[in-house]
Amino acid sequence: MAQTSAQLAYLSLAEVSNLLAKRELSPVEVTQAMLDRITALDSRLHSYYTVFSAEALRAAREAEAQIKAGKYLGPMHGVPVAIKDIYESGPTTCGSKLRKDYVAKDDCTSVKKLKQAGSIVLGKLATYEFALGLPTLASHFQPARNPWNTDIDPGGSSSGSGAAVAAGLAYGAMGSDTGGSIRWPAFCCSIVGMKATYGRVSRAGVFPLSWNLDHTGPMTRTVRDCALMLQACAGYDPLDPASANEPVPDYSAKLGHDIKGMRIGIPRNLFMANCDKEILASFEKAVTQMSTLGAKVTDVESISFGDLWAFFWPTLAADAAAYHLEDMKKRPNDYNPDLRLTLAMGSLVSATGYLQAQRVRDQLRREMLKQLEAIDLFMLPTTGFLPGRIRAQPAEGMFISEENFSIYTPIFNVTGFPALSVPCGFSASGLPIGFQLAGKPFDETTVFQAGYAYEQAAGWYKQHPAL
Amino acid sequence: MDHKQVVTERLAALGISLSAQEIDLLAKAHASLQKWETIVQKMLQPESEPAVTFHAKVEG
Repeated sequence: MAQTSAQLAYLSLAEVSNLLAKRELSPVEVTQAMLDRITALDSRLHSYYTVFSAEALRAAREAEAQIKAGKYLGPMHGVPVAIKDIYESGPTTCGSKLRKDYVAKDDCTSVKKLKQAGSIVLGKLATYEFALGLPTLASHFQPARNPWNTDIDPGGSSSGSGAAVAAGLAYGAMGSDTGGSIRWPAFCCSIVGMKATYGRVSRAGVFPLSWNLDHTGPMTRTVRDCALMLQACAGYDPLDPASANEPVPDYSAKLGHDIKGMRIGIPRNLFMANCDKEILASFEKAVTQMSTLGAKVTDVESISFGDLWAFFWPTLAADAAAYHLEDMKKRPNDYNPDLRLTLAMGSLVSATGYLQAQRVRDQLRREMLKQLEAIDLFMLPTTGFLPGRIRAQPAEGMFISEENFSIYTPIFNVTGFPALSVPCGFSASGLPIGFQLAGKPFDETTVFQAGYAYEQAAGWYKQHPAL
Repeated sequence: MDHKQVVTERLAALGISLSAQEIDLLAKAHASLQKWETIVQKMLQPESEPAVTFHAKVEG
């Protein structure tokens, strides 16, 4: 190999996969390079809670032997990836003192599927506490840092997944997304994140936050990589009651196809009132780019952010409160203060309030499905604010009583539609910006097609943080 | 409505103990929940059913 460590680290998953398939790179070589890079850089980034050095090298040697013997398993064979620490696989802390010593007896379905596809699992990645509580420097676990500026939050809750992939410490990572926890860190770290359709990727063995809003999916540096990783983990799982028994298409099938005539709708009413000006400017340039590529872009009707928050946030908080009730009674002080308050707030949601929220939610889903008869995709900013500095202490009450957290991702958790966050620029302060594309249920292929067309035209994926 | 009283009674019924400062913050949150319920009520269409409806499935 004539590549430097950084060059190897920043090859795309697809490029590494090609080299492995052609035996121009060995799984052991690339896994060792990743482990060395984690050792060199992660003391500053804190993206990993656990590194499976010995297990990863053992799996890499096995992959090398299989490939040499002609038993090539496909594009993920020998590719090093990492897993958010709410997926059952070895030590699984959920970023909480309550689970600091918990070790899973078995791998969850998604990890099993990735391993069956030949992936090398490097380790477990940092998460906001139970995929919800904002971390601070006072938290039980060190918060992950943003590779673009280590004083800044990498977004969450899949914070370690965003940081590790952006920093070249894995070629892809699994995240989870209940209200934006794949797409927000993807936005903050200038990577790609796919929240697949509800039921598309198994949630079995993934610690629940909200049973009816939880989604899982991959985070990578390019759209093609995301499609390859989703291919490995998508599919029906009888262990997940919400799993969809739908055929799994070839997610790379339409990459490189043009988007001439593709109909894209912009739900401006959702974000115009509270979106940061720099984010809005980058988003509008991306919209222009899509038009230049041949898409037919039009504005479409939408609920407001305030309306969305009014039924999304109580739903999530009540579900989380129900799951955590026993520990809230017995060990409330083992939660970080912000999460303790959020869970207590969830326990105040009334039964009628919860059910009315579910009625409005289904109403919205039907209305947006109707819109998807006239358009192919929705396009909108991922969030309306840039991430801030990691706080030293909890900002108690920040979340629970206000609706100023202008994140535009939950609309696709409440509807279950597939949604992808794609980088689309940087702020004047050097922080990443991204936008979302969302499509019809189980049509991730079209979402990837449009995301890839933009990505290749814009070229933001070529930029990496200086570390 | 005295939000603080509602919060105190509800948490006591569930067996959750929190500090006085946290109860004050939750009283504000309870006011927000009431406001959000009003917003949701205005959005509702009479024929809507909740997304939690079960669908009978024939096994085997």
